[in-house]
Amino acid sequence: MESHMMADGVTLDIRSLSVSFRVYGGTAHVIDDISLQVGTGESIGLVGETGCGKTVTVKTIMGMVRRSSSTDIAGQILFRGTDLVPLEHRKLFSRIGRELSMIPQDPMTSLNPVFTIGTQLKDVIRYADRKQSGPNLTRRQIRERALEALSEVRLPNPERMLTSYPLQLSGGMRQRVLIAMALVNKPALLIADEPGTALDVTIQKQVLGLMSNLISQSGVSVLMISHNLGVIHEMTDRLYIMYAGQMAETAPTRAFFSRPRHPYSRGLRDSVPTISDGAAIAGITGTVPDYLAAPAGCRFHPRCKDADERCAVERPPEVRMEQAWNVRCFRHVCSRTRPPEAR
Amino acid sequence: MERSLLPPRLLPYTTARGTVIPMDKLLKIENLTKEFRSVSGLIKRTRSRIRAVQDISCEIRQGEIFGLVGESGCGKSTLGKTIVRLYRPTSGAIWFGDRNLSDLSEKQLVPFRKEMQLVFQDPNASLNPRRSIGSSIADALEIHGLTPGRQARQAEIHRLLEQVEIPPSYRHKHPSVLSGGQRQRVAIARALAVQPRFLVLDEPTSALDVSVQAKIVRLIQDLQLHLGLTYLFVTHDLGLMRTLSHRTAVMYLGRFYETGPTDRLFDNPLHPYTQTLLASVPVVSEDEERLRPEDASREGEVPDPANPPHGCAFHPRCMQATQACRVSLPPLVEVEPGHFVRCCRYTSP
Repeated sequence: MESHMMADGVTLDIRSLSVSFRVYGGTAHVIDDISLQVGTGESIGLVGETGCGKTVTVKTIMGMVRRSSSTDIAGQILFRGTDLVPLEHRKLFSRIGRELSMIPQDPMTSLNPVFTIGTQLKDVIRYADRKQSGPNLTRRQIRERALEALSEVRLPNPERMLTSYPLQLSGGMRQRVLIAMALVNKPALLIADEPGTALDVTIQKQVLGLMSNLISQSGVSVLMISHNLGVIHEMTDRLYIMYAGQMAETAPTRAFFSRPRHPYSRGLRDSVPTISDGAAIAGITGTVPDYLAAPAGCRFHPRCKDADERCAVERPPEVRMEQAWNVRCFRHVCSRTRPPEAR
Repeated sequence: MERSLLPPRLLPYTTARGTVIPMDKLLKIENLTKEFRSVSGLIKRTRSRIRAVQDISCEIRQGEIFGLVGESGCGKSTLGKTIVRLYRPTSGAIWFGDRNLSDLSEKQLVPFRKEMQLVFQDPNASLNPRRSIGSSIADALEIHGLTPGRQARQAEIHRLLEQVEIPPSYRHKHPSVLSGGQRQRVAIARALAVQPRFLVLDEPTSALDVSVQAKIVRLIQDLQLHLGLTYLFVTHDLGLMRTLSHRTAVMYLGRFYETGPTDRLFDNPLHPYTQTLLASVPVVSEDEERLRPEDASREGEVPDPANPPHGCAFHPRCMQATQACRVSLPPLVEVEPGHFVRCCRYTSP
């Protein structure tokens, strides 16, 4: 998959990544040859249903899924020019938390309940400081930086927040603490896993608004994972649609929503209930396949209304529709000059 | 769902838009209040009262989908559970036909349990993981003595599973081998086993992907038309509410702040809280972005329900709040036919 952001530099460049796990019943090919780029300063969305490989992709980037006797990883994950896949543990973890950080999915369970917010946040700062070039910061400096981080996410009374325990905070406040932790070391790449989806819409809106301010201020590159298409629509510049470990489509976000091209993308878009007219929502028949016996050819074909015999045998090539817009579907192979009408 | 259960519409509904709302009432709720008390602290005992549902009156009409929407902690699930008498109300009446359910004992309630059922949010928690889905459904039939004899019961389970589009051969399977969507279908089949007239659906799709959610919503709609059911649909997803419900009530800290026909409430939201909710929904098209109302709230969170703000509970977050809002709680007033709002801006002349 070629990037249109090459000129500005690429923070994360995933090239033909495949991940498979050997389990009792056989080998599960969970990630099947995906490529993805995050340009510097770009916000990218990765979208798909539960079980389509989004989290495995993120875990592989973050070194939580490593090569082992039961795990095969092929391909490259280039982060600022360094391939993270073969990197030894020590070197990888000297970058994670500093240059590469993550906002976890669930704010309610992602903070340690027995330590104060201050302890946990200062740990993150101290860790990065030590990895950089030995301890440089004094205790007071660390404390000041922690207070600054908390006020950046607009938490009331940062002083008191430092001595609070997670259970004293609401979900929205915990989410803010996690955002502060992820951004405190000024990373180059921020991975956000379902940000705010565990919260109410009003709080979610506040958190997302805060995040997009901080993102544009700091110029951090973002990879945002979500199955909430509304969040992706509002937060990202470009998106990737993933299905069963394969990339179905990549497109500029705004244009995509008026004209998704892959049948899976269209199915997802048409499943979102609208607040403006309450039109019927269609949904997609069937479920994400079992990875031990993933369908041959295009993995989406058993659920696809437009599938023919060819889809069941051959894997569709990536077809470039326009600038930064690629689709893997046979329906677009011959009709490239005449794109099918959008719904 | 490719195959609709029954195309002809039995009920006086045309579409989600321009609905004809029936007038025959099934349930009438009068001044319903549910209060939870808690005692905390070992040495210094502090008692607190949380009024999860406060003084709610409404009627639910035969054959309609009545939607209940609000943020977490606003009491919408408590209201649903109190109406079907999983909770005993602190005060108020629940009229089901000509019987008041609010004071009945468990034993007296048994015949009404057959009339009203509940589908929970998380099918992983509501289905017993150690029992096959067939036997979970069989329980409901047995308790109410609906199917004498094993054969009749098996036939009924077969029919129920088919009705929710689960292959009847799955009846020996356990919930763990089913997908989330299939489990929720089983939960719906179990609720339908006693042939109820009224169903409370408490966020039945919030644990599911949108693609699966859409299929379940279609099933819920088809069943309603086919079986002439009445629903109380509880959700925090406003898009879903618009798609599904005929009338909607917006709840905040235990009270209704706006109720009305869904189309009117969404096209013309009157309460600042409703406007805030609508403005917060992440949407997927520019058309919808334009239609979203302006956010009418300042940044803030839902107040502690044990210590609610005086007057209109929304006033600390409301940008249009005046002195009057802090003093007294405005009544629900009818602004247009069937469309009620509780806001000071509509009470003072």
